[in-house]
Formats: sequence, C-alpha cells, structure tokens
Amino acid sequence: MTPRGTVGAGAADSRPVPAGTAPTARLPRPLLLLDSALLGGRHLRLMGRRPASIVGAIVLPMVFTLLFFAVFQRPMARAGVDYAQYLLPAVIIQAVFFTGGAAAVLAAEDAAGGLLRRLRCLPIARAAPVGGLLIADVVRVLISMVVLIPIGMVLGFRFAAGLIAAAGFVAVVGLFAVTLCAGYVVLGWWAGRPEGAEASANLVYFPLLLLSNAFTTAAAFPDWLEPVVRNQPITRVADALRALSTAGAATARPVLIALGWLVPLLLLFGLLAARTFGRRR
Amino acid sequence: MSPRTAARPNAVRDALVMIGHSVTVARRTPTTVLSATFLPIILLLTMTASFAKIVNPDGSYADYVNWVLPLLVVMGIVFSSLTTGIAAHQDLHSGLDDRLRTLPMARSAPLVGRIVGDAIRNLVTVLVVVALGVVLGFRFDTSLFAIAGFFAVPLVFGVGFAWLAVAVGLRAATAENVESWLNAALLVVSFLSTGFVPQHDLPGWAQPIAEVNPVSSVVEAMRTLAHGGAVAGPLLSSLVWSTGLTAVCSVLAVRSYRRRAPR
Repeated sequence: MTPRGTVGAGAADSRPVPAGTAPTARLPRPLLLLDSALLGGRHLRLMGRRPASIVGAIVLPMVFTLLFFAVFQRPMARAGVDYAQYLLPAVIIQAVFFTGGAAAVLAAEDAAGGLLRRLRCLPIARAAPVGGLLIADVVRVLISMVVLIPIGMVLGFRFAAGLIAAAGFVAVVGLFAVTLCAGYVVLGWWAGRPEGAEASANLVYFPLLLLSNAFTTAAAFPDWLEPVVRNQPITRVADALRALSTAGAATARPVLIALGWLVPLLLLFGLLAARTFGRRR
Repeated sequence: MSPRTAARPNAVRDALVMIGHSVTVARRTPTTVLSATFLPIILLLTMTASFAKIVNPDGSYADYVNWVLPLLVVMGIVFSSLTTGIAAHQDLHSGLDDRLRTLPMARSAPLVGRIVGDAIRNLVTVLVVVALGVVLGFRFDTSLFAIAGFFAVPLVFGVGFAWLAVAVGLRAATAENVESWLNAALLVVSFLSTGFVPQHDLPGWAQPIAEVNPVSSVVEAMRTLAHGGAVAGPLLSSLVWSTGLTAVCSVLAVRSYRRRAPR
C-alpha cells in the first residue's frame, strides 16, 4: 500500500491545516481495505445486474459439470477413474477461469471507460482498484463453489479426507482465484478494450486448462507432452485439490507444490497490477 | 419529391456490398475470429491430446482426429453464428439498420449479406479445421463426390443455423442475455451428441437426446462421407434439419425485419 498524497502522521487526523501548506496535506490517509471493499461492492453490483455474469458464474459451470460427467464418465471408468471424484476440482478450476475472464473484461471496461483515470486522481490506496476486483472475484468463485459442490455430491463426489482437508480445499481454491484473477486484471488493463480482453483471456484459458490433468489423466496425453502437463501450475493446483479430497492421500507435498506456484505468481501479478495502475496509458 | 428519383436498386450489387460488410465486420471482431477458427483448432488439438486414449485406448491419436473432427467443424460453425446473431441485433438497435433503410438499396441486401457472409465464414472454418486435421492424420477414404458432400453438409447446415441466429438476434430484447443463454444451450447440443464419444458410451438418459440431435446427424453424415458407411440415414436427417431450420427461421427473420420498416 502506498499512502499517496499524505505527508506523515499529521495528515491522518482532520485538524485544520495552516494556509500555505501543499493542498495534498489535507487529504486523509487512504485505507486499503475500505477502498478495496468499496470498489469490490461496485463490481459485485455490476455483476449482479448482468445476466452474462450470472450465467458465467452459475449456469455454465453447472452445465459443464453435467456435460463432462455425462460424456466422459463411462470412458473414464474404463480407464479406472472415479469421474465424479475426479471432475469436481476440474470444474471448480474452470469456474475460477470464467471468473478471471469476466474480471479481465471488467478491468478493460474500467480502463476504456475512464474509471481507472478517475481513480488515479483520487486519494485512494494504490492497490485498491485491483483489491476491489479481487474481492468481487473471490465472492463470485465462492458462489460458484456453493452451487458446484452439492451437484458434485449428487454425482458421487465426497470430501473423503475430513473437515480440515475440506477447509484446505476451499482455501487453495481461494488463493488460486486471487492469483489467477490478479493476472487477468493485469491482462484486462493492458488490453484496454473489453473485446480484446475477452479474446486474450480465452487465449490463456484454453491451453492452460485443456493441457492440464483437470479433465483427464496426465497419462492419456502423448508421451512428449506428458511432462509439461504434469508440471504446469493448473495441474499442480488440481493435484492439491484432489489430495485434499481423497481419503488417505499425502497432502503436504501436493499442497506445498501448488503454493510454490501460486504465492510467487500472486506476488508477480500484484506487482504488475500496482505498476499498471500507476502508469498513464 | 423531386422529379429526379434515385437509381433503381440492384439486388445483386447491393447484396455483394452487404456481404463484403459482413465479412469485414467478422474479420475485425475478435470473438468471431476466435469462435470460427481458434476454438475448433484448439479443441481439435487439446481434445485429441487429452481424450483420445480415454475414449479409445486401443486407437491412435490420429484415429481420434478422424473421429472428432466433424464435431469441431460443427462447433466452430454454431458458436461463430451466434456472434452473427448478436451483430444483427446490434445493427438493428445501433442505427446502422435505420441508415441502410434510408438508402436506395434492395431491401433484401442486409439479410442476404448476413447469410452469405456467414456461409463464407463457415467455409473458412471447414477449410482451416480440415487442413489442420490432415496434418494431424485426418484422411478421406471415399470418392471425390463424397468428399464434396463432406464439405457441403456442414455448410448447408450452417445456412439453416445462420437463419436461426439472425432470427433470434432480430427478435431478442437484449443481446447479452440471449447470447449467454444460447451459449449454454449450444454447449449442451454439442456435447450430448455422438461427436466426442460413441452413442453407447453416453449414459442411458442422454442416448435418445443424441439420437435426435441435429449435431449428431451432421457429424455422422460427415463421418460416413469421409470414411464410408451407411450415409443415407444421417445425410437425410441432416438435410431435413437444415432445410427445416432455413424454412422456419428465414420466415421469422424476414418477418421481424419487415415489421421494423415504417418508423
């Protein structure tokens, strides 16, 4: 957080400032959480008024869950995979991607519509614009999960590793959502145009999600591709989520590997977001 | 009114102008380019890489390319037609359509431009997907005549579907709403077909859906035209679907287009 426009502790209270002081001295100290929450509320209201984002957060993930289960359950069972248990982490990851794509479009709209320029001249925490988007995104992902987990349970998914692991499952999804959406926000600001943001969001989404072990096992891929599939971050997140929902699985290693991807990426995207917001384009 | 009247509209020339307009707009709309070319290409690559060995453990990756390619052609066509429907909606509500109506042009030109423009875009989709498919191992085992049929079947279906998309676009109250729901509906018809897996691998409740699904008919017709087999049944039912969609939806589209006329 960068307290822009403040000069030391004196600016935090509202005592009248002597004439002749720089006008910036009168501005209150920005509060990252408050500013983020305000902007997050704005994004959530915008999402709630758009049928597309409701379809994207609730209907599409449901439809994909049912379709993948219907189409590939029998072939996967032949390959020895309990697809209900296998599929739920995949569709949750996919829902996070949908949220990220929507975040990129919202971010591009803010950049194109001038809101970003307006925010830049307000005494707000510099990280609040990205923070606001991320708060809204995490809420949206939680809504998707609340819809998807019961559907998964009807199909046969179980949190078989206990309550603590289930909480870890939700926490990893949350961290993944924050990381991915931070990347997508940077992408949206860079694109600067909603249409371009949507197109580039898809360019990221398809290869990352479909060349992972999310929907099918890594062993099914061609030999030359398999090492890439096994080691890319989406696979690592899916591995962690599966370990946290499978009875008797070793959780420490997959979770640590996933964190090893997510934490540095989050730092990188956070830095890029702050830099992008700070620059005039 | 002045004695000098405007030149009589020439339907063919005006249609050509509007076809050019559709093609230009399609080329410059990222989502259209994406769903017409990128989506089927990436799905052909990734679905083959990920599910070939699951769907048929004994087959090769090239076998699955031969199996799944028709579905991806159809998906490219239906999902990009959706963007044309949206474009028709936007033209109607953004004022472009009002502007066209003030010009001395043939009344049929805007709709003809859309449908023919879609057909050109669909041809690009088929050619791009087949070209990549051949690189990945797609082969025709039939006569030249059947191969021509292989290309014609999705294009004819594409005309019917383009009419459906335009009819929906012209009648819809809001574009965004219709787009996102149709998107979900198109996923359902694409998946619950015999495109990704054989019918006996679908669950019992989905098999009758796949049986009557027009996507299955088009896919099966393309498969038999490329690799041989009983072509008559699927070919007939995909032609029935295509002409049915064209007949019903073109009437609906023209009617709602006319209704906007006096303003």
